[in-house]
Amino acid sequence: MSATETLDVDPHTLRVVLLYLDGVATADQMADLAARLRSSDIDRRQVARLLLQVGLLEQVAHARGGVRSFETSAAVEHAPTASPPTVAPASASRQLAWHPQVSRPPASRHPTARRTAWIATSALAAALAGLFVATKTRQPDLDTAVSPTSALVAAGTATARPPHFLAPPTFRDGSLARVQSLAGRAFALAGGQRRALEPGAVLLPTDRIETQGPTARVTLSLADGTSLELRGEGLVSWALTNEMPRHAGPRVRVNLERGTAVASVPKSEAAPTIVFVTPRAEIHVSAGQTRFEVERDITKVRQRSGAAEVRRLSDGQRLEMEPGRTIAISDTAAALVAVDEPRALLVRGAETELDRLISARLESAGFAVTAVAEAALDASDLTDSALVVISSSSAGPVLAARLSAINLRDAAIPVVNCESLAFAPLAMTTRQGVGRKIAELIVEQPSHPLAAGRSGKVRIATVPIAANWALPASGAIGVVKLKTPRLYAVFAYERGMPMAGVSAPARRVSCFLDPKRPEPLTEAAWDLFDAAVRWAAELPAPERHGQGM
Amino acid sequence: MGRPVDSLLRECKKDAVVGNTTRGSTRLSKPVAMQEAVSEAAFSHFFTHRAMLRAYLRAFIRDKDLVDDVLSDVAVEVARSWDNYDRRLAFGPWVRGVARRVGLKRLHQRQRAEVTLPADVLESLGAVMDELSREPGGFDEQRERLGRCLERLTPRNRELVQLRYFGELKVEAIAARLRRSTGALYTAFSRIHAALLRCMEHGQKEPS
Repeated sequence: MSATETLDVDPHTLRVVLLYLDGVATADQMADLAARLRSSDIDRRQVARLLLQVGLLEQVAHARGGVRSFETSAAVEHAPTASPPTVAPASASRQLAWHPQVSRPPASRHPTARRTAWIATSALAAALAGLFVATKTRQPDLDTAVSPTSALVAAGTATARPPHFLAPPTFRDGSLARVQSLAGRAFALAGGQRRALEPGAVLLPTDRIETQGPTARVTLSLADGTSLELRGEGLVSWALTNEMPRHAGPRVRVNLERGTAVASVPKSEAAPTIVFVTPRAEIHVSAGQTRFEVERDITKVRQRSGAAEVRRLSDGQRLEMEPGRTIAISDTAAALVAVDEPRALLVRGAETELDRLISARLESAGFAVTAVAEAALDASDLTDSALVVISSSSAGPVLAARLSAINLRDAAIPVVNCESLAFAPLAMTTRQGVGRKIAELIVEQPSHPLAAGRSGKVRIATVPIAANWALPASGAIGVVKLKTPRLYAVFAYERGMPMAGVSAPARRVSCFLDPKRPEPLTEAAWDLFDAAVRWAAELPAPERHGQGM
Repeated sequence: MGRPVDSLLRECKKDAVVGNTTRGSTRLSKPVAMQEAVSEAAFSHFFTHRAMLRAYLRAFIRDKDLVDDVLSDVAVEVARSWDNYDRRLAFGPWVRGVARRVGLKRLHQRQRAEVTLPADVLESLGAVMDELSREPGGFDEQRERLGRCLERLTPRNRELVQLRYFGELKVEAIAARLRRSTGALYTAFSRIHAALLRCMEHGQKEPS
């Protein structure tokens, strides 16, 4: 189809087609339309496109249960019923939303036809030996408001995800997942046959995935953006579960039969499309990262971020999962009891790759991480935080103002600070700065836990990078320094020790990580960061099996 | 039609394994793996043509719900008739033939004699839809584009789209609600669809 043809869209022809579709075209109009369609390729193409467009609209509307508002988020707040939409004034920032609360039309609208459609759809799904066709013949029931990324979509950003309500639970070829990356041995089992997996492999609903050996690691990507990483030996199967076109629940069931898996579910205001099922529990992850360890008699679930709900299969007990919460589900325990991890508050600017790595390190240290943008930092964020980590992605002046506003300086919460301009508001230094070309540091106190077992010269980056330095107050413990005398990259205050004008209300540690990109950072640099976190939070040091540079 | 899914599944699997008599032919038993392969191949073909089929059915069936029913029946029929499909021929015309037969049968059952475009015109439209489905990105991309273009409609036009497609109101009802003539509304809808077609073609352009 050329652009010229499309620009020749003839509203008159389209009008007649719309009349025809509604069954109100006159005989003359029908004859004229038929003649046009026989003689004009352009008209045929336009009408074909129109029919497809109408089909898409009806399909999406139908799958969403008839009456659904398609209106602005502002209007959503004020139009909780199926009344005519209240459209907010146009503005560039307005976001469209599918109204999830709008009631359906009266059940009598097409009750028989719809019931018939549901049942027929069930038969369809069954006939195609996987209970999956029906869900593909209709659009998913994703009640959603358009996510923030859809603003980018609306602006024409090619890489942004489409509005979630339009995302089917499968890929366009009907597959449920793709192998994104693979290490070790993994197989797809189907029809009594086994085929070795490789990156890019397409997985159908009938496939079971088996990973072999403790080092196996397979990352699968699902159509809704969920990433599922299988670690070590394991077995996973799945299926599209619900052929009912308007069912509001998950459409894909992922059976974690054994092994360890980590699911990362993208944030969306839509209803989750996936449910994870183990022999002991059913887990609905609404967003975030969840780790599953599945053994025969017990299922362990750890919520790293986001939220989920766990339901024990044996008795239906439910438990909400929050970041940092871990739960072990067995049939023998009387009640579901969760253990919450300590929470680390990560204060950052615009999220960077460095922030993501810092977050991962904090999680590895056993923290549930809550990230907050510096401008949104509030005193309430400190509640329940066992540690505050300030990233160098922060914009100094904004952060300094917020730190003063919430009085973090006097808060009895350990702080690890990686932002040079935050040292002064925290009263940690008398002078500070950022070195632009630093690749090596010198460990002054190798026996201190903050030295992470390092000594002498430590290469912190493969190429010279920007790193924080400071002239700390007299009560500081200087551990790692620059070549310049008295300027430290890693220093700390024990609780109660004098800082610049005040005593430390809790442990305070400096962190030098301020690179433009994290790639050049060496393992030694990250070891020093980990050591800062552990010391500040008073966590035990890890066992070490030698050291290297 | 009220049978639970499990019984339907058993029935269909039984058909596939021990043979059926669809259109007078009887198949021999198949190994399970082959049965699954058949189902997957049929499904895959049907799935990639589903939007075309829906639009094709919509071109001669007025009732949108019936279109969905028929589409489901077509999928079942595709699975059952898969062995009768000559793989040397294009799938599109074959499945449209199935869809037309199933659709007309359902209309006949409902005793509906709808005035439709002639069969040759419908087929030519179906062929174009088939061709469009092979454009890069296919229907999934078109669906995404449509979502973006809908977001760009003016509030007034978006309201009209909502009422017609998401409110399932007939044009007469919309006209009564908005106190406009049905003729004016059909004109408005034709312009909206034209704008959406242009927008979908040239993603960045603003529809009316």
